[in-house]
Amino acid sequence: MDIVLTHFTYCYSPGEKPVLDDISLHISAGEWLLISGRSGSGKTTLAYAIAGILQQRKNSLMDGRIEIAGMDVSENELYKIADVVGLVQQNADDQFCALNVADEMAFGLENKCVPPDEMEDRIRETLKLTGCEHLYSRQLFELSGGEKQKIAIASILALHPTILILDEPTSNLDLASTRHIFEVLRDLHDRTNLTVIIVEHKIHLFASLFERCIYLEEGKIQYDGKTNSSPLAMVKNISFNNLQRLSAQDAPDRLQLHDWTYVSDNGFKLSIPSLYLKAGHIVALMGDNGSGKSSLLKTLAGILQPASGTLRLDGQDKDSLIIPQVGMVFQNADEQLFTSSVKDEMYYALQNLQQKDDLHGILAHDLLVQFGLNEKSNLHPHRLSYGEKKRLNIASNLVFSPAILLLDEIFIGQDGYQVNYILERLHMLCDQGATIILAIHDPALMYSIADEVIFLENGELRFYLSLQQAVIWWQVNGYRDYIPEEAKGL
Amino acid sequence: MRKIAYFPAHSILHVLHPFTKFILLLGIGIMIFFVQSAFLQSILLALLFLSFLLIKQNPFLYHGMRVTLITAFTIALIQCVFYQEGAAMLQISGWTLTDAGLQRAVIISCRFMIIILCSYLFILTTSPSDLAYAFMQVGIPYRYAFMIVTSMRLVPVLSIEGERIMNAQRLRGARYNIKKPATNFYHLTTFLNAVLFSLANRVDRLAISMEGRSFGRYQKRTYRNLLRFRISDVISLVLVPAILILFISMKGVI
Repeated sequence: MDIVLTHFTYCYSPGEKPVLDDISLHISAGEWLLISGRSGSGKTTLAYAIAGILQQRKNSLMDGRIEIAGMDVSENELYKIADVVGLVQQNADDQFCALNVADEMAFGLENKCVPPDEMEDRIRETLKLTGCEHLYSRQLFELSGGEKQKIAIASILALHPTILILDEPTSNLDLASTRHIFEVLRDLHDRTNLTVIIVEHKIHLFASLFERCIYLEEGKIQYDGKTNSSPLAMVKNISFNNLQRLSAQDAPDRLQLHDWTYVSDNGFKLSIPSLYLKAGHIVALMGDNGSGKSSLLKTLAGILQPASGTLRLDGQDKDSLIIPQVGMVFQNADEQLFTSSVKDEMYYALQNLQQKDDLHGILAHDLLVQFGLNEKSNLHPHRLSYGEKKRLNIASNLVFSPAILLLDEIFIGQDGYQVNYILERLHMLCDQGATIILAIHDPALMYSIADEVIFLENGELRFYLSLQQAVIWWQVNGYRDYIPEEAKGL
Repeated sequence: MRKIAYFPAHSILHVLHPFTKFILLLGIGIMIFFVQSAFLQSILLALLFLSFLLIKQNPFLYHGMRVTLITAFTIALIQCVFYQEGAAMLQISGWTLTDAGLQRAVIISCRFMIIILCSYLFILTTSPSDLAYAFMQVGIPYRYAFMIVTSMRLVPVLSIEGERIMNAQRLRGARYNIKKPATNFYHLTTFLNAVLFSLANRVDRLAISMEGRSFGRYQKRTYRNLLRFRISDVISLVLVPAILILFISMKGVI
């Protein structure tokens, strides 16, 4: 089933710059295609257009055609397009329509009036294929992030689509889970001739798995070709190099933790015997999904109540850290946008702290310019793309220069250029003496930015070491997924 | 304290058809108002407490039970203090406890407890999805029945999200202060702004997910798990109303 886009243009509302601009594209049946591009370049919009979702929106402007096997997508209801196209959204939680795994798997099959016997077979078969058989009877809220993502994919695969579109399917996953999901999809593609279209930022990790890559920039196709060709290699090589800096080893301790424990409602226990974090250092917080990274950050910020432990900031005992000592950026960008314009969002914390002055105004403007948000400063924050919202979250914390900055997976939705801009700003904050704790999954990013590494496993502190020592520890103990390519030859 | 939520098990109450339980809940809720004997109301209340043994749960460990007991006790106390008709049973410095007052206290507080305990049993033993499926099976259009499932999905999410947004707000320096109503109003506005946009985005993505899996494609749909009426449903639907009718008809006897 071929997909043909002919001069397709799309604007979210009249008068705005097109998000997709005159896109003409032919995707053959059975292709294994990567759509990539800069943050806000229109990748997700393109995926949604092919899935027929954009065409359902009112007040938008559209020109050109999208055909799937000769069927005009804009002239058909979404549920008819869903007969051939399956879309897996970025956040699995947003996709779930039921409360338990079996019901979720059955949801689409029931809508398609599949007989119950056949339905049960298809559910079991798909769960087996994705390695999720053991989850059949589980409640969705009990699952880990990785398990949820696999169920989100499996529930679409059970519908036997001929075209599968995945919007950053691995953005919240650790590398082992990411690799497993890609292997499952690749295997399925090879066996069933399924057309797989994946929207993904992590080109440096996965480009070699794909046969063809489309790279978008400002709504236009910048590159369309093989993943091993030189233009794409150039894009891939916008990596996070030359950003290593010398951090002062004799810097004073900024944050000290002793016997720091947290126990969640479901019995998960986080345990940190002791930790000394230096001023002006960037500390990568690594570990698999569910290892306790977010819990550690939240207990430090006082969002979760630790079961025990002492916390000292610059030598003084504290119950928890509070603004302006601490800034925190959560995983979900939407939860941290409060005002009605991008500009006001930058001033929100300053206004609460009564620090709104000319100097901070200049810093806010400077951050907006560097993060590519200045032209959108009068827009409502919820009109921004996901990557832009994330950058606004970061900028609105950087503007009050916290002594400790806690960052939870902030690079989701960011292209290589934007990652570098963010890193530059983080380094500037560190140079002022701030300590940054950064929960992260990407080893390449970790290798380019971190001074030290905290490694958590099942809620236990495995180690807190310098970057080089951490790499050696992972090598010796066989944790290959954590070792960046650049360090594998060392 | 435990949250009142469905827990999977195989007790006799769990295996009843959700629609049977729904009818019984409604039926008991209405018919209990016609049982006028304090003694019979007490027996019904005792039977309901015994029903918790069937599902191997202690009702006093659940959220809200303490408030329910305090409320029931307060209702009883008010009746005892202010209802002065009937024969005097006890007199303490000008206040009289009458037999009619005591009887009303028992009847009203038991009625209140019975309705609450029935709701607890219903929630603890009925899967929201199964309830929605049961409604669909008895002919309610699935587009409406699914509103139950989607609201069950979104209500806890909204509560968690509200908490997260409040925390995010706090981390950006927002402080609610009883002495500064204007500041509170501003913080409340920004909080609601974040909650509403977040919820709207979620609903939008959920709608995409549902339609993207052919929701609404056909007038009818099939069901993976066809819930069947069993003999236990028939017995329950006959036995429970029969007991209640018997109790109602015993007005003036006991």
